[in-house]
Amino acid sequence: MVQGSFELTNSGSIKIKGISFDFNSFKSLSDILQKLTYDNKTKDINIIGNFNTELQLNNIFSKANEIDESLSLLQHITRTIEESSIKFISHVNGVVRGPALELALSCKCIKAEIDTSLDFTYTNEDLIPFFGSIQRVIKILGYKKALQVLLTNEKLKFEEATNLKVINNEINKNIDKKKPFWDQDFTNTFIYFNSKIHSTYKNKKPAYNAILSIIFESSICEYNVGMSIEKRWAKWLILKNLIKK
Amino acid sequence: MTEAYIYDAIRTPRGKGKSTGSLHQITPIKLASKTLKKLKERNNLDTKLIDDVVLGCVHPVNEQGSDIARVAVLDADYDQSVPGTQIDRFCASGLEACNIAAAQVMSGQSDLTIGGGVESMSRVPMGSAGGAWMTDPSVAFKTYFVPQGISADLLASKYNYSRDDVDLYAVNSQKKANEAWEKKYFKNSIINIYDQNGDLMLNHDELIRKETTMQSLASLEPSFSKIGKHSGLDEIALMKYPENNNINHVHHAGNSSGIVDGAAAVLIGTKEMGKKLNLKPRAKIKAFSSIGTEPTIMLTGPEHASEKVFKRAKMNSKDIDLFEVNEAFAAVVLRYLEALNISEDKVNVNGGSIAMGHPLGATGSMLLGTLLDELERRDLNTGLVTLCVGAGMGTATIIERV
Repeated sequence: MVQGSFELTNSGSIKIKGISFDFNSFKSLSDILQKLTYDNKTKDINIIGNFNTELQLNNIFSKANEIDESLSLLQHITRTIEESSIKFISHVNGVVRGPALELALSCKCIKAEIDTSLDFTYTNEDLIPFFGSIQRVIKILGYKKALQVLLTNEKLKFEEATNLKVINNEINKNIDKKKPFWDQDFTNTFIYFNSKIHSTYKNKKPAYNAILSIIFESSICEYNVGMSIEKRWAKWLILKNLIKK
Repeated sequence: MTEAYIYDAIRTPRGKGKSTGSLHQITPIKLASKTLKKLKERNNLDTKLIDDVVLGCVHPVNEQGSDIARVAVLDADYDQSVPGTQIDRFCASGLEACNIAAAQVMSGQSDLTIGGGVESMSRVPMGSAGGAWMTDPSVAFKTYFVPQGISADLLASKYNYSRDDVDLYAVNSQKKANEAWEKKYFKNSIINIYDQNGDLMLNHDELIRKETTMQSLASLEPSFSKIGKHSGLDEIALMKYPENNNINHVHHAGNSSGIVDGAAAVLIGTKEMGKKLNLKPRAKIKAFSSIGTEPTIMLTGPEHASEKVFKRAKMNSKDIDLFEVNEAFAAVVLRYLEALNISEDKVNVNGGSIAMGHPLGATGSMLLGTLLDELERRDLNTGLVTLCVGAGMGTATIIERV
């Protein structure tokens, strides 16, 4: 599989190349972001390239003692993009999922072509976002819709994503700190109406339990605390899979 | 009457009760269940033998709602036959839970029980539970309700405790708590809190400010001056206490109990059950008592609860080697010392809630464990725990080492 990399082009874009991304690939992206942050002249940055290859993670979580460092790096990248005064714009098409989707979601704007589909297929594959995207999806989509897309393997096609203002729209940077308390609403609206999914995945797919726990535990927390909770559960899932192997 | 013995007492460290606190990320149910789990592990308990788990919790809503004691039992992997009940006597809930657990043993209806408490003040903030006393005007007006901070300042005004008096008490609480931690006096009771990955979240009381001085406290603004003066609350207090000319606002964040997260559990049982489980009794619960007092000044409960429990135990304050009086506010302890005419060197010898924080539902059971540890360390015999309680109450418990 072609080694993945990120390159800062002469035209001022970040180009995603290759398919398989290891720790060093993401470290190089982090270095690029740091450089851009120090360069006050930059206003807009386009991120282009192989979004539809998922940015497959390669060998990043193979050693238990390196999980913390890797997860911190991945969250650091998306937090840097998200909090930057630079306007990052991701240009996507086709199926965008996994780490590629997370990278895109952290940008101020996702410019999407008509064949775009944002695939939140985490629970089906027993995976959870590693870049802090649960908090981000809640911020962008609101609490109820976020629950739905994160837990039901939903695919947001171009039209729906446009209507939800996820794509081709500037994402509001203001973080809503007043998230609702976890309440009966969740049980009524999600578990009841999606009981088939709930009974299929609960206790069978650890990722499903983890995503639910993240949403619950972070439901009263500030954004950055939510990120930390995500990291803790991501580590839990990775360790579980390492033991299984 | 069957005698109730304490076999073990443990507590979590107290995490700052805000979003930056080390226990903020952990839900209250996990705080409670980790404590119960640890109690099971270190006593090698066959949990089928536990007759009941009683946990104090002052805001039993949202994450802390729906009988947190029973859910904690299940989450701690206790046998499903173990029931759990959550009780609320405001700030004394943790002690009251132990008293109820002991009462079950003393009455012969239980052989082995657990008392304790939990409060995650960072996740379920104070006031979350609402309640008629504070919010229903027909009740609040009739009972001359004022917030507890106004009561504390009223108490200080009535008994002439100056800002220096209360600040000096607070500085000493910080010093004593810091020294106790440095000398590892709490090591027997503290359980470290780890997350689901085995990473350490907290192993110490993180509120302590060892650098606290009279000068640093002097810079703090009184916390209740503005609401007292501008919301008419001082006037309500003075209506009830017209002999006071005014309310001297002396309490602030540095001489009041801190907002923290934490949980505690105490294992209580009969002598026979202890023998059966090969557990060594550490102390006997000699007597306990709760009392209602005047609700506007609210915080004088400890002296009255103590007098009541002394009568019940046929004892007096001179029979007590060490006291734990909850430091809800500095004036509460100063008044207690004065009312019972006891020496400060017998009271809160390792600091208290001003330094380490007051996780409302858990503090009483934490104090019980702290007292027991210190009695053992000093090889003393008898101790008393007491707490002032919202709406004008007090709870006190006397224990005797065996």
